[in-house]
Amino acid sequence: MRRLGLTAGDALVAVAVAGAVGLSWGWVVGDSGTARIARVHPGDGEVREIRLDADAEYRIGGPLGETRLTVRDGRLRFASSPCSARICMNAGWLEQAGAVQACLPNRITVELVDTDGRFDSMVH
Amino acid sequence: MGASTAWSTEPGPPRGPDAEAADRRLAGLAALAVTIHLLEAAVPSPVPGLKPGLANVVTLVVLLRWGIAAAVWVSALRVVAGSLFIGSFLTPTFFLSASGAAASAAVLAAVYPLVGGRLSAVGYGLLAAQAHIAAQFLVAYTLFLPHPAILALLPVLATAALVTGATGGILANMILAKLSLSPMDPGERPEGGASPTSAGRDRR
Repeated sequence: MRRLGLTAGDALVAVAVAGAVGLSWGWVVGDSGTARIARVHPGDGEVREIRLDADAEYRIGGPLGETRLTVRDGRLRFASSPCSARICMNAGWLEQAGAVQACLPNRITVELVDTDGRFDSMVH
Repeated sequence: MGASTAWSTEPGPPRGPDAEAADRRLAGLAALAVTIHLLEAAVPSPVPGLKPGLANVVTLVVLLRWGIAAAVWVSALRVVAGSLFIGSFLTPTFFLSASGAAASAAVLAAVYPLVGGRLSAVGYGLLAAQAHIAAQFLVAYTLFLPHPAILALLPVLATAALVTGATGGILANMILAKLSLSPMDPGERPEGGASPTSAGRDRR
């Protein structure tokens, strides 16, 4: 170590900088913004907000019929929908803030929202 | 006497050979830094803005051998001349580069008088590298890409700065050790802050 010319101060700086770098990793990676609520936009109805911390089933009416949303363990999925392609149901569980899924034939859009408010908007 | 113009057209007092030699040395060091900068620019990098930062080794050596003013000169000349050669002068790349260089120079200028020889080039290199990427990130986020996704790059850049700052500092220490074994050339002023190789210098 002495041959490289390192001093005790260098070690101090190295530890401090490494700590700060580690914190930056934790800050960006750790809280990945799991959603707390989901915003449901039915075609012509008003926007509903669903809390994701309580397991429940929700029925949303649309032009084709009734879409059922299931909330469990902080995640949401389209349990059933009267559409023919079933894209919404095949999407599986949504849990990340910013995740969006829609049943277009039934005019229903669900958007998971990051209530921490870290980001004003997400552009896809 | 009593000239109305702000700039004098009279030749000033002759600057001694020492000052001339110091200027030539600064120019030579800046040219060295620019050359390294150009070579690095030719190498593609996986992450935008990520470079080995070897030109900063020159800045660190100059700082610990010839003082903060010389280091700032070399750093500034490297950014301007390098961008002129590459053709990126006054482009966004230039502003990113310049902000990084300015921030690292500011940190060095702030820390060096306080700490002096208690840090070797490794400590200064670590601090300067973090200041460099922090400023670049701020400029990129504020002026060019105000998108939350760019935040994900920060830890990556910070980790890279940790590595390049340390390795650059180690290289600078090795170079300083070699330099201290050669006699001081004329016009070289012994800088106030001690360097880790000052013991080597006294050995002459």
